[in-house]
Amino acid sequence: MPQSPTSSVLGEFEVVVLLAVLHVVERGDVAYGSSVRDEIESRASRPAARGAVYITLDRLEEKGLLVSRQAAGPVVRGNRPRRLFRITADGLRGLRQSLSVVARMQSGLELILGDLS
Amino acid sequence: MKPWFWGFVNRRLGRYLPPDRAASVAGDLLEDFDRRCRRQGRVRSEWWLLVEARSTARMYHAAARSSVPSRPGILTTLANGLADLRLSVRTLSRQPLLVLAAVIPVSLAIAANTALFSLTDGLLFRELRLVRDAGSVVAIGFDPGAYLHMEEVTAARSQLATAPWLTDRIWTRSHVVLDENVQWRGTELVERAVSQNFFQVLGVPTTIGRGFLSSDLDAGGPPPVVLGYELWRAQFAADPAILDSPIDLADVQVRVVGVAARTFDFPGQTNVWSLYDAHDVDSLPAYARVSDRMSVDAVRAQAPYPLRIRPLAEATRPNGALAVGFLFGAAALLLLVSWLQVGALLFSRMAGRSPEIGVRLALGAGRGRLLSAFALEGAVIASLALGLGWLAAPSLVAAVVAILPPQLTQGQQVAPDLRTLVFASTAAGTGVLLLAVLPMELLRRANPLQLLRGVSTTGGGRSIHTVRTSILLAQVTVTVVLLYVSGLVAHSFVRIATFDLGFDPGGVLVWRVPRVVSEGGPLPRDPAARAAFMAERKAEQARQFALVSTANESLRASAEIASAAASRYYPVIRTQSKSPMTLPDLPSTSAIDVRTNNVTPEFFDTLKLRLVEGRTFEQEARGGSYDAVVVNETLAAQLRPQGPVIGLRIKVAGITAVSGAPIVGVVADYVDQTPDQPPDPQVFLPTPPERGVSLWMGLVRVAANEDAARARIREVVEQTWGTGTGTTFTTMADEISRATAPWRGRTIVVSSLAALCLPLAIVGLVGALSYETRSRAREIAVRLALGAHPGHIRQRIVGRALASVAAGLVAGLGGGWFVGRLMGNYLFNVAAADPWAMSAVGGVLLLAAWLSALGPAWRASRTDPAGVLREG
Repeated sequence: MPQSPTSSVLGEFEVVVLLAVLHVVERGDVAYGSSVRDEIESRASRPAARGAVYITLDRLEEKGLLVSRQAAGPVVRGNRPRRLFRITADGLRGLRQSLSVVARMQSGLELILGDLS
Repeated sequence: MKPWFWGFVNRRLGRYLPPDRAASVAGDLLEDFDRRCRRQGRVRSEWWLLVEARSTARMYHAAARSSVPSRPGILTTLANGLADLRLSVRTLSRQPLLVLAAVIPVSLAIAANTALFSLTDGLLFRELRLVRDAGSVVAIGFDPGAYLHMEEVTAARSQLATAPWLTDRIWTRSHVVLDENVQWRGTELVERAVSQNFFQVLGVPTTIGRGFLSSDLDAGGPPPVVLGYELWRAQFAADPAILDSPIDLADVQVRVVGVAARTFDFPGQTNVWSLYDAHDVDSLPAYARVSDRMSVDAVRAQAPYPLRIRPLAEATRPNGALAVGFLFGAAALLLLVSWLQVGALLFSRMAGRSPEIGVRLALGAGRGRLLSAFALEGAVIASLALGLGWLAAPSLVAAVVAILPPQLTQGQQVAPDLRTLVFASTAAGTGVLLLAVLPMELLRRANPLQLLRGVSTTGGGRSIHTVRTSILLAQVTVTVVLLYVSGLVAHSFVRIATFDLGFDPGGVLVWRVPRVVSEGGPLPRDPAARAAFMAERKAEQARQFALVSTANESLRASAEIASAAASRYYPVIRTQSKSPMTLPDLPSTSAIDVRTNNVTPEFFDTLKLRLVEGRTFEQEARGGSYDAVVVNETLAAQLRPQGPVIGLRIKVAGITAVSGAPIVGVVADYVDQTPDQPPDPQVFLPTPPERGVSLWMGLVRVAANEDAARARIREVVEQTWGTGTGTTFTTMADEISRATAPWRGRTIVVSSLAALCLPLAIVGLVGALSYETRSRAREIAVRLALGAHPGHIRQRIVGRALASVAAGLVAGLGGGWFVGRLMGNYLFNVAAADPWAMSAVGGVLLLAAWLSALGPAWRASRTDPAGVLREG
């Protein structure tokens, strides 16, 4: 049963994964485990454990922030399906909430924190 | 391209990830692997894949564990437990036949094991009840392996009489008032004569009255006795008024001074204790207390040769450690058979339930949860079996004790108690629980999809049929081992019972010759007094000789008696001492240790001892000469190298009458003690009047009626030794029965166990064949549809049953042979590889297999092919 997006605050890695899914989809690619992981590693310049990515994707789906569907992949997968993710409206709302909390907490600290981008 | 370790990766993911997730993750990995191979090369990518798959699986596993609620509340646990229990009971109640087939063998095993553990516990571990401080009481006797030289015996006896490390010596004799083990009003009277301090020293209380006092020895009137509690209750209605008034006990007048404590029957299931004057110089004390300053072990080490001193508990045990091993071995085999039986049944059931297990696994049931559910079903079966076993145990213990020879249970209270029940139940219950979980464990790694299809292979690739057949094979093997061991023991018993004793024991009655001579005492120092003392002893000897001769002549003249003789010893009871024998005409030959026996010339005829060579010394005895001896075959064989045995003169040390007496005859060997003891060299001496006291025992061969012969002997004893003189009797048949009791006991125990195991093996066989027939129903249907003859189908099934049993038979006979070699001490004239036992066991098992296969074979041959094929 998907939980209400407001019922729990998103964790840092959950925000990262949601953003990665958005980036992949925005680029016009399909978001599945490997592509989401590659996106995190290339943008955040940090390694992400494959297991952690999959488990977070599962959890976000359980919370109703993502939906997934099975789709056929290239031949090299040996007929194993790809699990493609898409962000839901709740997911987008939750992501905005989490990011705005961070933005509000961050405001006024620019001198100390410097340019974060 | 397929990675080298793809199988491993797939299994890893399949084990820890849900199936749909495992497929997509595996696809992702393959895709990345392909990309990496192009960038980094194959070898590095292979390694990367292994690490990646392992870490992903571990993270999933860790996440799954952390998502499980840490500790459910106690109420939730209880509710879950109750729900599981209800489910188990419901599941089991749908298969009442299977539950019965599992419960009955286990409950039988629990009951039988309780009986065996009770026996072991009662016979070997429990201290003698009621005896105060039983640990400081020792039993004294001759070392069975020692040669008894008269001088050493006398020295040992006098050393023991003055030993400061023993106090409170107790003397006992078999019987002095009643006949041996006489039947009276349906009760067997077992009398034991004891010294007057018996009850005080052992600290055993009496129910009413008292034990013996020294004043009872000189009280006159009927002999005083103490009655056993059960005898008093059964024959005298627990009447306290019987105390101190003369009563009739098996035609003998006695005076009851007390009734022993309830359950006290020491030694040897005694129920009448009579009084015995302990100052008999010829006897050793039977029991004594160890002085406070010494330990029992220290006293044991002090025992003068050829005596043996043992703690009381050890002396009353039948054959110590060997008996423990024997009983435990038998109990373990029975447990094994019952476990295998239940294991086989539960395994068949599990195989039939594989689709259900598949559904439960596919629906996400944890394997641990499934295991606990099956363990609960096992626990329900075990609880039912425990209840039944506990109900049956007391009766079974009573039955085993009743059928065992009393010589094996003497002086011990054998009854089941909570300890033995709990011990046996834990052993049997643990096995059942393990076996309930084991089949599930075999299916643990099976794929749910396969299980749903009604698989026939377990995770390890083993076919369920193979596992089922292996269990059946083990079951048949253990049963064959038990049957074979039982066959060996029974064959040994038959060999013992039909052994040529060397004489004919049928109708031989032994009566104790009354002794009129004084009990001796120390030899006076004064020469004149000494001469008078010696003359008096000689006259007493001659008087006793004359009385024995007169009594025997009267008996021989009686119609009730076929022949009568007297001797110092008689066969089966070996108490003769050994003395060195030399040949005065051939001084260079070394001495031979021989047993000597004073007999009258009629001894050989009365026992129907076979004369091998020469003659008896009848003519010498008639002529008043005693210068002739008869030897047995064993001694003759040792003497033969010196020349002809007849006429050879021998000299036996310490026996003045045999100082150069010629051998006039050779008789066949007879059994001295038990048939498994080889006969010793033996010399039969004629008894001159000056050795009249040596004739302790009267031996008669009854003409027709034993009771009439007993009455006649009593009459003759009274006529000869004076009114009021009595005697006691035993029969050779009783003595042989006593000597062979251990063999009889073992045969009873092992045969009973084997008799329990055979039906279990048959049930197992029927179950296995029914399962096989069911699982091959489709194949049978196809064969029948293609025109196979039903008779041919029947033949095939019966053939398979016989083949399974034949394989178990071969393995079991091998195991039986091995066990037979280990228990060589228990076997008599039977080799570990005994063709008789092998043929009997093989015949019984194959017959059982054939009978077991008939039902399933008949059902299979009546299969409706259309129906079976339609059901698919």
